[in-house]
Order: sequence, then C-alpha cells, then structure tokens
Amino acid sequence: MVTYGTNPGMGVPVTGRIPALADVEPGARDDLERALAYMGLEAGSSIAGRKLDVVFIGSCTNGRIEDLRAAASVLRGRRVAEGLRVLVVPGSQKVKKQAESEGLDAVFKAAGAEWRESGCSMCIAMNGDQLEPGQYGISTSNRNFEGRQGKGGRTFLASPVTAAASAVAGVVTDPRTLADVAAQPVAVWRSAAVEAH
Amino acid sequence: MPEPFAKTTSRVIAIPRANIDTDQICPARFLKITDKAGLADALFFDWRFTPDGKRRKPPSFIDERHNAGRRILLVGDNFGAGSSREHAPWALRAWGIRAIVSTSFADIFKGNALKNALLPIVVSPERHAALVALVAANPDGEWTVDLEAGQVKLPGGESFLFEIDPFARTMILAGTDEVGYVLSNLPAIEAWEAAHPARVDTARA
Repeated sequence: MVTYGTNPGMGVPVTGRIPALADVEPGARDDLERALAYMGLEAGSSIAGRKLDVVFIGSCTNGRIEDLRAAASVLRGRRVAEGLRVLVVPGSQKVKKQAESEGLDAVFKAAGAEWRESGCSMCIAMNGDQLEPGQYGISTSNRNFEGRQGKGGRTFLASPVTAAASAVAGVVTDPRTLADVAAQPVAVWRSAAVEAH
Repeated sequence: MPEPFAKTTSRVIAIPRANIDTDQICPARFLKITDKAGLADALFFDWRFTPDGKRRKPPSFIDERHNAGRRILLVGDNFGAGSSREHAPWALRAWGIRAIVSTSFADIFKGNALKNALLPIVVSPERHAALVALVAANPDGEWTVDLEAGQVKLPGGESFLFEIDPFARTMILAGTDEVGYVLSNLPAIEAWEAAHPARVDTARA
C-alpha cells in the first residue's frame, strides 16, 4: 500500500490508482479534493511512477532491525537514483548497533543513502530533516498529514521495501518490478558503487 | 490548578471538515514550546500564516475579525486525529476555545481535551448537519454550553442534551484534577490511616 492523501487511510496498492471523485462517498469528496490539491495529484491517476525528492526509511513504526534488513536487501548492490536524498534512520541505538554488526550500514552507504543516528528525524520534520514546500517524499513512518514532514511537503507512506525500491528508481515503485528498474540506466550507478568498494 | 468551568455563551466558529488532525491544530514544530499561553499563535498555524510566517492578508479563518473571542468550535467527524500531542488542546484553550462540537473525536485527543477543561461534545450526524445549517443561516447567533446541565442552548430557544464522562465533568466543574480530587479527601484519608494500625496489628490480638 502507498498513500496518496493527507491521512493514513488514504492509501491504495502500489499497483493501484488514486480514487476518482466518483469512487468515494459524496461526504468524502471534499476531503479527497482537498487532499489531492495539497498533494498535487490527479484523481484517478496511478500512484506508481510519481517523482520523488526524498526517501525516509526509519521511524518508531518501521525502523526495526527487520525493516532495515528488508530495505538493505533491496539496496544491496544497487544505487539510489541521482539527485535523490535518502535517509536511513534506525529506530533505536540498539537497532543501530545491531544493524552495524550485520553490515547493513555499509550496504546503505554504498548505495548512496545517509546512515543516521536513531531518532524521530523526518517522521516529524525534526533535526532539519524535512521536505521543502512542494517536494515529494516517500516515508516508512505512519503520519502523512499536511505539513507533517515540513511545511508544504508531500508524503507518500509506504513499506520499507517499497521505499527502498523507490529510492533506486527515484519514483514510487513496486518492488516486484525492481529487476526491470535495475536494467535501466541505474545499472551504471551500480557499477560505480562496485568500483568505489 | 485550573479555574472551575461550568458554562460559556458565545458565537460559534464552524469548520465542518472531517479528520482535522493534530498536525493542523498545532504543527509539530511547536511541540518544544511548554508555555501554554504562547500556544495561541500556534493554533491552526499553517492555515493562518503564509509559508514565510506572515499572517495571511486578508486575515483568514479564525483570524477573521468576527471570530475574535468566540469560544465554541463546530467541526467535522474524527476531530483531533493523528499524533497524540497534548499541545493540540493546549493551543485551542490558549486561543480561547472552551467547547468543540463534532460527530466524533479521536480518542487520545478527547482524553487530552477533558484533562484541559476543553469540552468535546458529541452529537449525532443528523444533529450535526442541522447545526452546520444553523450556523450558516445565523452565523452570529450565540450558543450557551452548560456543563452543569449537560445542555447546549441554541439561538431561537431550541436546546439539546450532551454527555461528558462523569468523573471528568466533576473535575472540570470543580476546577481540579485527579491529584486535587484525592487531596480534597485528605481528612477522610488521614482518619482512615490513623485508625489503620489497630485494624491490622494482629500481634496484639
């Protein structure tokens, strides 16, 4: 599931489409219209393929060791898309140490992501980790309200695996299609990463 | 210690949209503030101020001049959804709001509101629709929210009853909290404690 709106209930499968106004109950249309205006999205369009500026993998919701392993399994040997900022923030110091003992930090760094101290970070636009007005971010946290990740910032909520796949492609991506993505120009980045190591 | 609160008479600010979340009521960047009085400015901040922090011109929403001093909010379903921050009721109270009427409230927000003597008044969808129509037709009509009677009186003489958690009601009417409630029973507690050793001292039996 990926959210398209401004509350966590406004979500569709990553293969799905944003609801058309006719798909929702009359009482919910105002909400949908307002959410899509804020998000800069069109009713009825697909969620996959949306351009991203920032990827946030972390938060108390999805910053467990299992989440980092899942994200690392996608990013291992791959490279994040050019121009994309990718933050990986462990859920706690304990998770951070465990991840480092498993070498996950090296995987994220080799992929071009930032490996950070544990904390709230971009879940709540803390420590300067935030979206600029109009920017799009995909986030493994669980809050996507207006302005939550920075004034005017637009949040897609998604799983760690979907966020990691989207980090590679630079757009909202179904992780099951990632083999195709990797065959695109991203492959150049991959070889660069291998050389760097 | 809060002041006792029993009744307020005021015009109403209607924001009949649903799912107004705590990030709208009090954005996260204000959570480091612990001075509740200063939080009035934070209330619905991003709806009232431009991205560079200037008050919108003309003043919008609760800043519109006719809304000044209003104490009652009429809002859509699921008010207070999202992050469980006490700053949301603090900001509402700091601005001057005393009662909020909706079809439902997010549970944590509701609890926080009651702890801060901010009345969450739940009405049926039918009554809510009628109240929204009433405010549209009579935007300057005064309502009276009477906690003691559990009643809202509308302009024109109509009224309806509402329910508030009875213990919270007692606290708000008395202007106290749980600790204050316990301390108000101090003589009884001390009398019990004074007599207690004799009750449990089995060695002497």
